[in-house]
Amino acid sequence: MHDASYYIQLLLSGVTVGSLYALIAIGYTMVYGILRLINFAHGDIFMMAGFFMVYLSSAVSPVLAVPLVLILTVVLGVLIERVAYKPLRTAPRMSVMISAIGVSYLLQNLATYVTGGLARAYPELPFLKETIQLGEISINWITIITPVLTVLLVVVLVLLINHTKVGMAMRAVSRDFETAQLMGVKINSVISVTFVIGSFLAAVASVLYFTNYGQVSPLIGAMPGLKAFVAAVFGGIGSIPGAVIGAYLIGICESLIKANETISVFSNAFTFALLILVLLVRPNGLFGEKTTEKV
Amino acid sequence: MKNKKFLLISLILAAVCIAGVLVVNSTMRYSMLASVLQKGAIYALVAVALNLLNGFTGLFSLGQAGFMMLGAYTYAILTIPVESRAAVYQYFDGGIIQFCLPMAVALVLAGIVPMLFAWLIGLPVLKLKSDYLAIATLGFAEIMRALIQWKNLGPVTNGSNLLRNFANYSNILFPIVLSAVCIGIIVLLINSTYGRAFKAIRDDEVAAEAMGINLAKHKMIAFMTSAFFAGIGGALLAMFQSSVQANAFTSAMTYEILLIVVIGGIGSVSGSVIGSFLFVACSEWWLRFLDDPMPYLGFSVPFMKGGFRMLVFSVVIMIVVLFFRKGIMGDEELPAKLRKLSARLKNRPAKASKKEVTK
Amino acid sequence: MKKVIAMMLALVMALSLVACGGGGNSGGGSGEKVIKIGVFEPTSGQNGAGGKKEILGIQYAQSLYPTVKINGEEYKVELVVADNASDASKAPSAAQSLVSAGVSVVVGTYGSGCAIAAGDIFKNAKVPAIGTSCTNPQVTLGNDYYFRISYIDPFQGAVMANYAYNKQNSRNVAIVVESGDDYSAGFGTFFEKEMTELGGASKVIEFQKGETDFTTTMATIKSGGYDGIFAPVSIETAAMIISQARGGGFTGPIMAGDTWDDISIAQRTGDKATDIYFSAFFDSSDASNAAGKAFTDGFLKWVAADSGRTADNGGVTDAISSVTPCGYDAYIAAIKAIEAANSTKGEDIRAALVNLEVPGLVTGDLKFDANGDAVKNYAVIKTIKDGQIVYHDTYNG
Repeated sequence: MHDASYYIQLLLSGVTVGSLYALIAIGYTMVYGILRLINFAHGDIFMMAGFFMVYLSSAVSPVLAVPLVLILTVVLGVLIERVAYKPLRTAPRMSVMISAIGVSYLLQNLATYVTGGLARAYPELPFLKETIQLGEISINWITIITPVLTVLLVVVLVLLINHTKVGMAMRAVSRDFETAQLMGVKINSVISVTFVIGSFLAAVASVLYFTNYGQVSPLIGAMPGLKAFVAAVFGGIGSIPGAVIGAYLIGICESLIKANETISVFSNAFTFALLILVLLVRPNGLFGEKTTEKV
Repeated sequence: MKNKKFLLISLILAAVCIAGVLVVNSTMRYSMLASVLQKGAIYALVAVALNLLNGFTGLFSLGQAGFMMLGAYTYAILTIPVESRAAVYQYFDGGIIQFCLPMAVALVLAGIVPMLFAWLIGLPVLKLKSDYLAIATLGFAEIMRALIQWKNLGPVTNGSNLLRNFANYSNILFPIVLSAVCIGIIVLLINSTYGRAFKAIRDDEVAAEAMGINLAKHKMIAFMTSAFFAGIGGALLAMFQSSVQANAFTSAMTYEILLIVVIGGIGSVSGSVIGSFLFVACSEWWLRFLDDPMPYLGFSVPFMKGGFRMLVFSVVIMIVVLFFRKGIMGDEELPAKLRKLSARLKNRPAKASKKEVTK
Repeated sequence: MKKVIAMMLALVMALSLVACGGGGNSGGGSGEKVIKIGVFEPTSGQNGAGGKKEILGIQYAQSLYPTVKINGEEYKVELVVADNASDASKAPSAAQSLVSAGVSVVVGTYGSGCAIAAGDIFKNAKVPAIGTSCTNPQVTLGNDYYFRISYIDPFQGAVMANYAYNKQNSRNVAIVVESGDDYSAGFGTFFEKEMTELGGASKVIEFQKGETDFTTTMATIKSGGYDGIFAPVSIETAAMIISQARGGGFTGPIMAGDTWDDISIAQRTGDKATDIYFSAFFDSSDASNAAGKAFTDGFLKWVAADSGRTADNGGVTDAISSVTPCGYDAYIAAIKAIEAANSTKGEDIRAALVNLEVPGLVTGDLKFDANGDAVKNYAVIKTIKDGQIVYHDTYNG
């Protein structure tokens, strides 16, 4: 019944969603790699970036607002780390995770308070929303730009991690926190850099995501956040290419599930089922390094 | 001798509690106070059940809302009178379940069904490490929610539509006493050999295993017990709300319960109980005035509007999490805490203690 | 043993804490007689925009009729607002707070899920509630204390199915509903039923709450040979469904129910909002409705006078959502019932509501049937044209 162009459309839609998950997932996987912390607030940082844009664009033109949004989001991310995670560095892992949940709760309630709990229309960026027709398939520019930009950013990031001094420090810290400290790596600045990168990518994702869907609401960050985390686990936590591949896989699978009228409602459930399955079969994900528990 | 004294005190306290609740029940059944007492007791049970996992066994589970949902649905589905089924299951021709169980039986089943699911999910998931376990149980709760809301399961679960008209209690003493009894059972479990094994696992898994504790078995017991009581808590919550809908049992609900455990003190049963009453009273009652721009004062406070209550509330929670990491009770229980407090008071100069007395 | 005592102590402590903290927030006290009317509406969450518009209608009505006479004495009406946050799990405690504030009668709410979830609390506390735009039949069914101003979903579903079949010539409709939402699922079911009876085909496609990506769903609908979409969903989701359907190249009609009568949908979708049709309770341009005309003129002036009201009305001063008159009519019905009952007691007001007849309200003459639903057989169908919501068709059943 469906023709080829339909399946191409599904694939494209999956790739777009997957790219956005990928950008968020990188933030998760890097923070987890270094702090061993599931940063539950990451999805809400993504949401806050959306609201920054909404409020900034009423003052300045949208094109000018984008760099401001990136900066503000990075500041927010680093601030959260300083206030909510740094004091708990020696505390048990459960305490830090609870702190992350608390921050997520706080950001959601803050956004609800400021906006009155309503969705806000996202400002339209010129050019991005225009649709082009390729035969039977209609695509807008954002569908094309998103994966290209994602791949580009990932390549830059991998280069940064593998070929710069900061990158080396990050790898050292994620391998062994204490030893790296003994070797003279400035732990706090490495962690800050991690949060800068994670928040920056979340902000980029938010611009693309909300331009695509047209509106921001206070609770919108939770689901993409969780799915991005699943993508990070799927790819092997700590591995950036793994997170990206995991994100694309989840995006495309979701798209295919939604295409079936009967089981469309299970698109979220599927992601979590996949997570449980992966954890059972390959607890370290596709590309994760095997870790052994020391006594 | 000492035991007798304790027994006497506890009996008197229990009698005072029951009398107080009965007064509330007869004079102000629909006041905020009655509402907070019921919901606080129900949340206390669920929080203690979660604490059994997080605080006593060291298993970081985030599936509590999922188990509560299973309990609530089991109870509701089984106790809707046959004659009201046509109205409730309006879109599914009255549903396929055409019988109605007595309240007590359904309540027990409301615990057993989530417990069986806990066993099923626990087999694979309990092997995972702390944060992976958290995310896997969170995912499990989401899967169950999607399943219950699925249109094709509508004849059983009523799909997206809520269930109501099920058997309900009339006296608010019921949820409070039942919660207290359930919490008592959990306390007994914690004080048994099993409880000591749980704590050993929490403190050091490897050492516990070396001492001959069967990790898989004990983790499973803790997980299933927690799910059982979460299910009963869910059933009580359904009764309290007199309707139940899967939409309510989101991960946000789990987070709330987790925050109660943290506020009360991870590893303290009495802390969870106090924390839950405080949490419910603050979020639903005492802080409600923050949502209002205070017209009574004659002028309006501009920043007080809808949502301010939850904002203040979440800031308070962050302060507790960051600066009072041990919560109200730490990992101690109330008698120990009180004994310490009275010892400190005795050691103080007479003046200070006098002040305390007049207060 | 110690642990048992611990529990008991904890309970006592908690009890006393709870008891102390109560405190009173009794207003007034200047000797003036006050009767409280509860406003049970969402002001946040996905129905927040709609809830605020209904509250505007209620407040406007209060500004016109600020007092009632009971036994010859003048009572000032005080509105007590409780936010149910568009969330059926928060609705019971919001309802509880109204009951304990001592309201005599409640008006609201927008969104059937919250109304059903709170229904039993009002019933048990013997406080009558007058539903505004909650259209699911379950709201009033088996609840003697819930009444309703608006028409109900079986009627609305039939109206829209007939419209789709006869006027749009749709024979195979994709029904897009939100899983877990009573309103959406119920309305979708009634539409499906009527469509089948008419001889057309339809298929329900469910999505999860909070979903933002409908591109795949829309591609499936386009490719699957559907010639119409029926989407009884919230305002927030509506804009995304419209823009993604049109962005994906679907050209058939998109139909919906009363929730879509909200200017923000038109504002957010821009030039993509074509071929949109939805049922509504009221149309401000209908010249035959004298009460509606007076309401429209007065209300728009009242909204324009205050920037906060304008913001709640979606930032416009020239459009009225059809849920606003529902709020207005519910308030009028409430004070008429209080006067008829000559009492501030919920039970008396309920008894008065059963036999209440109010002619000439904004949404037509009011009389409740045995279930407590207003007898209605009139619906308007509206469309979006050049970014404005305009009248399209009338249905008289």
